[in-house]
Amino acid sequence: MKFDNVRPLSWSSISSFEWNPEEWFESYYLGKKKTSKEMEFGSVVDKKLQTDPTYLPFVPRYEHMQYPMQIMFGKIPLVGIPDGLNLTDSLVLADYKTGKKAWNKKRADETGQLTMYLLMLYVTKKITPEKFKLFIHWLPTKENGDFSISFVEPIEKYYKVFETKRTMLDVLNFGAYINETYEKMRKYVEART
Amino acid sequence: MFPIVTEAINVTINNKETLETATELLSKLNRLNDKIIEEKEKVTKPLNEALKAERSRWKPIEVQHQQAIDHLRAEMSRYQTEEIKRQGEEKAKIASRIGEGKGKLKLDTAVKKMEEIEKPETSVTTATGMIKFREDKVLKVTNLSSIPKKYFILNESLVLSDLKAGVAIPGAELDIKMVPLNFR
Repeated sequence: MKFDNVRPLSWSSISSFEWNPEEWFESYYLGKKKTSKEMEFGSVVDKKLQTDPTYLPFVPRYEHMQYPMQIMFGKIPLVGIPDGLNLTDSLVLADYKTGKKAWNKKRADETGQLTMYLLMLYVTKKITPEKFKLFIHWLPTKENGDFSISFVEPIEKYYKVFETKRTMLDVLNFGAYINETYEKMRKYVEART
Repeated sequence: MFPIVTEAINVTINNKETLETATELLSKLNRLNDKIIEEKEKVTKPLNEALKAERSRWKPIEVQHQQAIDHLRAEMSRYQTEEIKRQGEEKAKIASRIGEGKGKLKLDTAVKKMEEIEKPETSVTTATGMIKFREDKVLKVTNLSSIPKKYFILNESLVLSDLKAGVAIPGAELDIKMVPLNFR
């Protein structure tokens, strides 16, 4: 089977491939997407933050919530939907995170997701990454022992914000990483099928 | 616990008599330790001499080998660090050219140019072995006076020896502490 290049790459698809190419192949290439209670919880929280200003009011909202972007990076289609984006009075890019695994400054500095969004913002709006303030909002969760998940309480106490930054060099490196990953995906599909 | 130990650790000195009892116990304990050292040395001395002789036998060649190894490692580190730095500089140069207009690069063109930069080898394999490089984060002080106080450790032995030599040091002075010497 030839690797068709019309499927846009998202951050979750890239990180899925990095984590486990076979799982990526099943979920993203064959379309047998799996979900988890953590992902479902995260989606619910994202949606509520987007639509209900009274929900977790201490968590900042932005001019654009769930801002969809789709671009061609050379011959590679990319898609990304940052949770929060300010483009008018200030330039701010933010993502909300829920989960058990702790976020910290280092993780915020290293996450490729923000870099990918900045790459797409540069391509679409010609705004350099250095101009943006970047934030990761982390709302820790826990398992309740009955297959359900909830926030670690009190939520406001455990909620943390990490500010980070990126440079054009980071975006450039990420561009090379997209090319490299896309090529690996292509080889994987062609070997697999 | 041995009886003499139990007796010693229960001593509290608060008068001349208890000071004499403590002196008696201290002398006994130190004499016992002297005997222990004597017995131990009957075994350890010949062993240490054999160890010393064996180490001396190999030392000259080990020193030369280590000199050679240190030189090679330093050269490899220097070369690779310079290569990584070169690559970084070339990437930064390309990144600075990204933009709109004449003489500027589009992002995907810049990525292509970056991919063409000669990459340093991450590992080298030969018939007798291989090396890989890993990143070691080392300290580089850029401005000593800006570093917060909590990162400084006081050189107590230097302060003490200067005080003893009569140097006045603000924030420090000599204090007197009585220490027993045991003659037995």
